[in-house]
Amino acid sequence: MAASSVFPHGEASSASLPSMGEFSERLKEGIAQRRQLAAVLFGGGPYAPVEQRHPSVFGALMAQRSAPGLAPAPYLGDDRWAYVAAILAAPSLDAQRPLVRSIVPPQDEAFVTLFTIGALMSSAALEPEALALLGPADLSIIVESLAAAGRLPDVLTGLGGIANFAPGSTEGLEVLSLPWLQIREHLPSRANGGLAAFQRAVQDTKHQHVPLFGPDVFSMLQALSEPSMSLTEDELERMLALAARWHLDDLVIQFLSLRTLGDYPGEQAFLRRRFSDVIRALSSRQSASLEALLFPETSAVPTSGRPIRYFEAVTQLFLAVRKALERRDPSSLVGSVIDLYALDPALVGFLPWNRISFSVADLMGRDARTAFMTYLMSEDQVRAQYPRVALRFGKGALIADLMSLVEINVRRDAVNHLLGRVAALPDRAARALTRAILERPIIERLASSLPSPRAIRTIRGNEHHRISLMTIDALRLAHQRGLVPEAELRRRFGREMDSLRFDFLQGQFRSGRVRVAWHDLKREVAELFADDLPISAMQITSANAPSGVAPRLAAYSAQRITGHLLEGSENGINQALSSNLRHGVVLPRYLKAFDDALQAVWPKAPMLTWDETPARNRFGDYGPEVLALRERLSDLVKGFMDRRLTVEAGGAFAADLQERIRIRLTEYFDRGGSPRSAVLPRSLISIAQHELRRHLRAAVRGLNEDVRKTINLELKAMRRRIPPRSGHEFRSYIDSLETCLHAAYEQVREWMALVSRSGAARPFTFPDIVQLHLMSAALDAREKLRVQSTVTVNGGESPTVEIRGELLVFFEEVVRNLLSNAFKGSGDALKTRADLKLAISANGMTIRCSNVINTAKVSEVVGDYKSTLAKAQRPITGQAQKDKQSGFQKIRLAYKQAQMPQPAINIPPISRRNPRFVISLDAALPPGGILADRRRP
Amino acid sequence: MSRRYEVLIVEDNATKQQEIINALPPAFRDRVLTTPSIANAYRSVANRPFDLVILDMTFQVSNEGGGAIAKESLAGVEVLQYMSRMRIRTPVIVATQHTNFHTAELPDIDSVEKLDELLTDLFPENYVTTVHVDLAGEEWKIRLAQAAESAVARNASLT
Repeated sequence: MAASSVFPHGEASSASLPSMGEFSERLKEGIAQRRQLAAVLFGGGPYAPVEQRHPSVFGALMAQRSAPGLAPAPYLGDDRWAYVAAILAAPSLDAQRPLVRSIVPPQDEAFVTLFTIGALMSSAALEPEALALLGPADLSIIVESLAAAGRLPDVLTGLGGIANFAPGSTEGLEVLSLPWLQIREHLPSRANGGLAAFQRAVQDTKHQHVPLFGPDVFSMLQALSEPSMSLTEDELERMLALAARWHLDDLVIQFLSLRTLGDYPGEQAFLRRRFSDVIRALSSRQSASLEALLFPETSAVPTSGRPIRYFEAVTQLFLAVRKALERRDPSSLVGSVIDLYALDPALVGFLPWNRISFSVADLMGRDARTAFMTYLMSEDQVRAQYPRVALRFGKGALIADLMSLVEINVRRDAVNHLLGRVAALPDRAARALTRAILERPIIERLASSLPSPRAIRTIRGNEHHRISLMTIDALRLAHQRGLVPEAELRRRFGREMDSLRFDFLQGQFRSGRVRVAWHDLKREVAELFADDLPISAMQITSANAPSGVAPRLAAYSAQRITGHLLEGSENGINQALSSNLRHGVVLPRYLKAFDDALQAVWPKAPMLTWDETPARNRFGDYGPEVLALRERLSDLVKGFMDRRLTVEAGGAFAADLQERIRIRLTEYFDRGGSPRSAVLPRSLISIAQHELRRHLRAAVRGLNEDVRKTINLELKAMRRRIPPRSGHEFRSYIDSLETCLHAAYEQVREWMALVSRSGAARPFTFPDIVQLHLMSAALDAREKLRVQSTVTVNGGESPTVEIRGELLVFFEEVVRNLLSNAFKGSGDALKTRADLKLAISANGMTIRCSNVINTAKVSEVVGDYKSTLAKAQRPITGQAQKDKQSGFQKIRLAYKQAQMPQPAINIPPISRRNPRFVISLDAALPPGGILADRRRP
Repeated sequence: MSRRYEVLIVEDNATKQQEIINALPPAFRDRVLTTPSIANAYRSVANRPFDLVILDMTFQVSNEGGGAIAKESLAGVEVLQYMSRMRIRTPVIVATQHTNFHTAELPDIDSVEKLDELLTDLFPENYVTTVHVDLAGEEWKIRLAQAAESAVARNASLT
């Protein structure tokens, strides 16, 4: 493929301009190429090769199709074809026009516009020098378009009948009428998909046939069938002339009749001026309605009765709308608009909503019909043309109207009652309004304002939970009333269930994520009393025990037990704080705020790494300040974790706990309690739980003091450094960052509590766990993260298979460590592509993580291979919980804590040619199996 | 004893929320209800009569599941739409840190003045004024306090 814009416009001097004769020859050649294309595409041949001496968008587009003879290799490509192809793939003229401005470089905008939208529907033009650089087929497409719009450069006007040249030379081919037949087949009717289906048919035909016919004839049909464009009389004259050449003038007139009511002064003036010609294409009924619309003062009242034909019905309903507007009869106006919607929803885009909204304002909020009007006024097709109407009557007004539909005395059955009122609307309107009600933003707001059904009120859950349940309930009721088709019911139901399950998983942490294996600790404390502590051996409670020994032994035992509870056990409290908060949880959640804020302000431009160059590119001179703030936050959080979330021997928490245990032991033995009693370990664990809860509550206060307040002061200082009335986007970023940091604080605060016991055994899926990690612990900005997860059961893909809830912590720990390793070790940080796979069979399970290694990092990873392998193979040690490097010890500990056999950790040698780092964990299935469905492995 | 006013603050930034409360005259500070989301604001304005609503205009919204975050520059308008339609005549002061509110459909709302013009036109029943909040400065606090006083005074004269 040749380079982009290989022949920049203006490169050729006027001295090198082709002569008129040469232009003419190249045009003929271009037309011939396009004729050949027609023969190949529609007639099956002949497949003669085409010689190309110029870079050609036409040729490149043909290379994408099954017309190889037209794109000989190697040919001179022009990579503007990519822009052309992208624009032509957009679904409407409305979408194509802004897309040109968004994606095409300024120097190519005119060419791409002329090739995709055409000169009739744009003001684009090309100078002769630029035209001289085009290949013959491209030249013929552009010249035809400019000629149709009357904008040929002076130097080419001497070509004379160029405007008729191309069609004249291609009309001979019968196959050329096929696209028009295809379009006519989709003319809107009462029986087919209406205007939207017609727009799709035109767009599909345009996409296929622009290289053959040029863009104008298609753009013309698009402009007429889409409500957003207002045309001038001059444009319409040219359109009609172009349409006549392809015998499409009747279509132009039919579609112009859609523009007799809205704000289309040019179209209406044109129709009035050419009325005598126009009515030849129309039925007498339609002519009469059209005349009444265009000449309200003089025309007679047209025939009433229900018209059969689509366009007749449209003009008749338009007339009804106009009369209702004139008579200030809002009730009839609402009725006519709803009838029009029932005929074809796309027609409401052609109505004068500024006048309608004013006329119906006093009627609003009365019944389902007026609620439907509010819904229409906040819809895209009204918003695009009448944004102020949509802003006045948007989502908030719709909620108000829907609330008004629910009578006070039925509020306990509010959703059902609401849907009952909506069901009274004509079918199409009822289904549309139901769809709107069931959309998340609306149902969310209704859920917050209306009482929930009894069944939902009794369920304990958060707000998301309640909204999902309410949506499911509303879906069921709407389906019963015939307002939601079966397929949509299933799709939405599935989505809400996914959302509920995911929310449930998140909710498990919302009320605390510090999970301590209290049961195991209790057993271990009992074992300490039985085996290690001298209390039992000395029969401390016996009558002949030396005086004073009991307090000393209680103090000694308290010290030993505290040490064990904190660090002596792999189930210890310090380990739990490390795994559940310190290691890869709290800090990433805080740093995620910087990415979230970035996404909020610059949604399409994520920053892949937080280094100086990208930071300067994004924040300008403030870049280093943002980096410093991020670094400062990182230090604050690390310091906080060291001080408040680490409970080692010798620390304040250890001292408090030890003292409480000592007092408890002393009291216990004073009362003659036995060291071998089962009551004692339970009592001591209860003390530890109480102390840990107290410690975590203090840590929450510390988070506020140590991190939140300090960062807020830093943000305030940063704001002061931004000069007034400048740096709008950066100010916006700081504002977002503050909100996101607050959200991080709130979430971490919730995490800093002991996990609740309830619901922990609920099943989950492997992708849930991956997603949960990415969202809650890893840095978000999902465009950056490319993590895929697959699950197989006995070799067959089974992504939704549910895993036993008891294994949640195990999978969370393993996935977190594997992904942390991948992001740390790849050299690509968050650009790392990681694939996680869980394979389950009757013999065991394999968890495999594979990631690509950056070429710059390969040597280092290859060099470290042996030591990495050695770390992986090292058996689990007593210091597993302190593993901050490789994560292998933490992974092994997770297996042990889940009472699973230790995994075989395999790391295949790393090849420089295909640098991937793969870790595979093979182990037998855990006791009780892995899947929630016990019939499976 | 002078009258105490019931105030609703719809604001998702906790720092700004507190700064706004601090900036209000004493009569407005005792009975303040704050809400960080638009969805909750509906319930608040529907269930309780307020003397004044202070509304942020640009909100961060996240999709289902709490993932991708986006800013909606005119999100606060929803509350005005709702109040206007429900005929809740409480005066509303917009307090925003932003200076640009353009959307795809309304690309020219690129200043506080233009936002003020737009809201005055669309919601004359409720909208009072927009105060540009600059958390690094002090001037806005005076303007907000004045706007609050005059909003309740105006409302009292209307009722």
